[in-house]
Amino acid sequence: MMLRGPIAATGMVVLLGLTLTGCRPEWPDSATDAGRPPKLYPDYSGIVIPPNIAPLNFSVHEPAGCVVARFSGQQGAPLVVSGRRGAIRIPPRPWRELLEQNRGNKLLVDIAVRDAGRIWHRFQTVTNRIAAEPVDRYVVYRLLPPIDHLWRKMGIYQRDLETFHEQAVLENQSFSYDRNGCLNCHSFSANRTGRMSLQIRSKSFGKPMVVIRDGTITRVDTTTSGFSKMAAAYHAWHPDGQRIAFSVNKVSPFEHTVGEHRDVWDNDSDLAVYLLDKDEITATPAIADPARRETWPSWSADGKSLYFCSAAQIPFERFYDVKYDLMRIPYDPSTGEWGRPEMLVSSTHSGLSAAQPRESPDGRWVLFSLSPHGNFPIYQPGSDLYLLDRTTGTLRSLDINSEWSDSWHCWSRNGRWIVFASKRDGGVLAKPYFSYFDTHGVAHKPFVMPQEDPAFYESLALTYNVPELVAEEVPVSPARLGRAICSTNTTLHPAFTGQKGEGKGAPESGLEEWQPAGGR
Amino acid sequence: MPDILLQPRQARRIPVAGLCAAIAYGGIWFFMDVPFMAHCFGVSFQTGWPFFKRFTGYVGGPIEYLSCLLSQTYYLPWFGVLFLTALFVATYAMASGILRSFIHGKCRLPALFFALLLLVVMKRYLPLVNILPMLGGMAMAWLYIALRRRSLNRRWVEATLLLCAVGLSAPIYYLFGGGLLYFAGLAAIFELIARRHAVTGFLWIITGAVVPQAMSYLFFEPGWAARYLRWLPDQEYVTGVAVVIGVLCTFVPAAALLSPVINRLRESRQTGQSLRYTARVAGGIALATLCGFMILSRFGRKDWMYADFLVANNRWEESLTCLQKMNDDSDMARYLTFRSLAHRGRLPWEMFRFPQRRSSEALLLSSPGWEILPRVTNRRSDILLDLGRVNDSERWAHESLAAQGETPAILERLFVVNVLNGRPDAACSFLRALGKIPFKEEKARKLLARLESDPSLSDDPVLQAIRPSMLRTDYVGGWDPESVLRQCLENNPANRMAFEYLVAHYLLTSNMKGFGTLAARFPDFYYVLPTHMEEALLVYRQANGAWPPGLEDFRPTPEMERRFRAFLTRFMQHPGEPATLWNLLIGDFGNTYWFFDVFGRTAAGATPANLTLTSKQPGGGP
Repeated sequence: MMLRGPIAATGMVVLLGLTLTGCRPEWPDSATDAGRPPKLYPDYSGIVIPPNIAPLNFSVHEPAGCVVARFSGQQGAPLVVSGRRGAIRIPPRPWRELLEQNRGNKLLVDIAVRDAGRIWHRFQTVTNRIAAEPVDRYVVYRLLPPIDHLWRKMGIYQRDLETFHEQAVLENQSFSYDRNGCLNCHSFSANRTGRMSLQIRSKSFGKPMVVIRDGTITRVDTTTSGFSKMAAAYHAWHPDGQRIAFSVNKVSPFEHTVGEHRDVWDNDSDLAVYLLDKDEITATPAIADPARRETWPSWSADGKSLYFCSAAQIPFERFYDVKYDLMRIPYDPSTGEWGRPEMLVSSTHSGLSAAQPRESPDGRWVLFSLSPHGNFPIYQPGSDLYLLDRTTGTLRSLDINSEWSDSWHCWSRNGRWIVFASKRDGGVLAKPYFSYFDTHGVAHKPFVMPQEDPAFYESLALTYNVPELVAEEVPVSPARLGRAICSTNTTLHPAFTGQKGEGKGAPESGLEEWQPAGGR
Repeated sequence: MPDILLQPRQARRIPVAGLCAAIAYGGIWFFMDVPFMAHCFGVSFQTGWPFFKRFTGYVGGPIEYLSCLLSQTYYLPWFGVLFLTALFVATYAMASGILRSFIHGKCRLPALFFALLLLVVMKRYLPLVNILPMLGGMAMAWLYIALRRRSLNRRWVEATLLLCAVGLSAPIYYLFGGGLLYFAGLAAIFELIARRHAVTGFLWIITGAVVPQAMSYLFFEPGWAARYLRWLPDQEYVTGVAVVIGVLCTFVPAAALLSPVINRLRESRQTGQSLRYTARVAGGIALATLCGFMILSRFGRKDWMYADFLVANNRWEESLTCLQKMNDDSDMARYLTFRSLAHRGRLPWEMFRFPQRRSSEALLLSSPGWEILPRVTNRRSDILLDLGRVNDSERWAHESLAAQGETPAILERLFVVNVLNGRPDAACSFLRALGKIPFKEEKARKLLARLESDPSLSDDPVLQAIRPSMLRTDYVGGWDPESVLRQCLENNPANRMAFEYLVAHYLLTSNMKGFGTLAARFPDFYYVLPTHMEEALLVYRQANGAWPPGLEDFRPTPEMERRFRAFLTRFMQHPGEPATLWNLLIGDFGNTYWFFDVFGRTAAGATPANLTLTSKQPGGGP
């Protein structure tokens, strides 16, 4: 009881001190005009943002003891946030309300900083726009160190874009002793998680395609079907959720001594389709031709054609000459019949190599990447996103491309957002960027996925790839997924019932495959 | 709290304990060599939630995180010693407290032995992540035993305590991984042996068996062994080390299990006195052995890991002294020898003074089978950067990053290669990551400031030394030492390290033809021919009847010619008698290329079991 007085007095003094010297969320009307825009990290200026995005926290890279940011729109009261050391962390609830009230309108951001002499400086207003259309709530990606040949810790994670919540879908310690397993290339049917698949490579538990359908997890061993002994690599779910197109690739990493040091050689590849209900694998010679390398399968939005990339078999010594054409082949889901393949973008004409085609949900656009050679755009600094207009046949590079690799793109369900992995921030580590894609086919200035800590990316030594937008959370837990993957006695062994081209495949390149790192 | 800390009569011992702790601090400072431990057991750690989050998704993650955090103390020697002292004292107190619950009387000697053994193992063999779960489990057991003893004859309290302890075993398993085995095991032994409560004892056995299985439904772990032993030592060691680690891991539970026998013997009137005496002598011998080991390992370091530590700190001469003492012809020791000699400009003069055998894989550690070993990935990055192969160095730094995480050395290497490759933004990212490692903020901040003012760090002497040697031609494939080194020379003919390594490669493989192709370059690098090049030139002439083309006026000295004739004379006296030749030549010629050429190894190195001649005459080829 006797201590109450001194404690209260001390508290008052501390409070008074904080009030006098603190950094309060009040807009300084007396601030002088700096006459230039502020330096923000991440760069959240001049962008279009979804109305349901989590707060775009950022750092003001200006010499400042205190920084105040005022967010305002046509509707609602302005939101004023202050922060020390340049960090602005926006409270989620008022942010959400502000975005909701100003859907389709501008979002103005005023920033003022207080310098060491306690003088306030105001920067030019940053003008962003809030789109009317939301982005899908979750993005699923792989997060791992920049891998060359060896790997150790890796995982697939899902992030709630409306909050900052991130959780593991699957990490490799859940299905491999001492983390020697690899997991890659998750795929979803029509941006929904009810039907998804991913590929596992584990010394202990094989290389199954893991299929999750309506809460049931199945291991599918595609290597025993008679189609190919190579494990599946890239998956693409048909919009009807009944079949998965997949590629089998014999990929090996190799190095350059100048420029980007990493590259990948795909010695041989073919495409096939796994029919879930029949537990069969089918193909046609046009997509499984030993004389060519076919890869990167992707269904059209209506499911009536399959996009893929194809290149002639060329020996490894001429790896710079390997350039893939963008192809499309009609497919009738009701009969399973294939049409004649059609060349959409010829590498001979473009001089570049196509990869990762993805058709927009409305079927008008095909977004894909073009790189100088090969089929692994994430390792090619010259890889850019291109847009093919299906109605006019015109091809153009997106204005949002950077000097570094831009790849691994995905459409949102409403076709108004694209997410892609870009190394634009330094050239080594990829991060997920979002871009608004308007009705005229224009992709607007992209912004990096927001994080609770504005300095999150500044010190991150991990890289993101395969960002996929989905509507809801993955419905199975990592433990359940891990247990199912390790239950080898429940593996399906589909039979190959289709046709593939005849002839010998490519000769061995002699390169080594990726492998797990040892030690601890 | 356990009795040992709470009994008031022991309060007067606090100054004594403080003095003991101070002595322990001094001893640990001197014997443990914390910077060397940082080199051996440096693990990644970063401040902040995102790094911690990586450890939350699996059993034993939190204790791994704590191990990573505490391992960072090794980077600041005084702090590392403080941590080790605290760990030593805590281990002693814990072992003493637990053993006193089983064994009547004081248990200082065994507790001291256990704590010292822990330090010995920590110094060289086990990282902290293998130690802390065991200690965590023991700490839980110590607490449990102490509380159980205090709640004697209060049934409700006992029952509540038991329920709480069993209920907490799931979170304890999540926190400590395999440490649960210690907790449940010691609790079971306590209940069965000290308290004679069979039901409670079996409850603990069942808890230890069931909890890991049940928890695998929440955090799936595919390996049965890993479910129970997560983070307990499970790697392969040589027999002696495995025995020492085995003793450490089983010491306390084994002593607890044997306590009835020990107590009976101690209390027996006939044997008690002599047993106590014998035990004290045995304990004293054991402690003296451990202390002797600590002293020997401090002064007589002869393992390549220590040489590696010296090389990592650019202490080339000390490293060479260490390597000479080691007399080890393993590839890692030879790699360190080549690199140290090259950095001191002594490679073509002295490489055959050190243990060598006929293989050049050690030059660049190029054997493919080693790729998955973390030490090898780091070392490959080092040597390739020395040679100017910045992309290759980056590649192996990436491999190290994937295998070991964000350690200071790896992040600094990635910073350097990105600056050299003209990617200052990426270099900044790795520097900022370095800044999130405790005790490295200042270094990162200074480097960031330098990078901001000069993105190419054009005034940095280390980077400026590498820049002229950087490759400008894109070579793809090929990981044999000869092509790697020839590419370096094609890009920069003045790359002396590449040149000397290439000469070394040809000498180590007795490739006189390849050696001869380099002869024309000798005048570019030397005023006086290095010893081993003189020796090899004489062998070349012996085999080919002429000097290699382009040698110009460079010739071996008359003295060297005389020595070679003397070597040949002795060699021809006993052709086809390797043992006799060995004894005849080892004294005067054991460190020459001629000796290496005929025996396929140098005189330095382990004594050979079977001698063979790999060449019928110098220059005869392998």
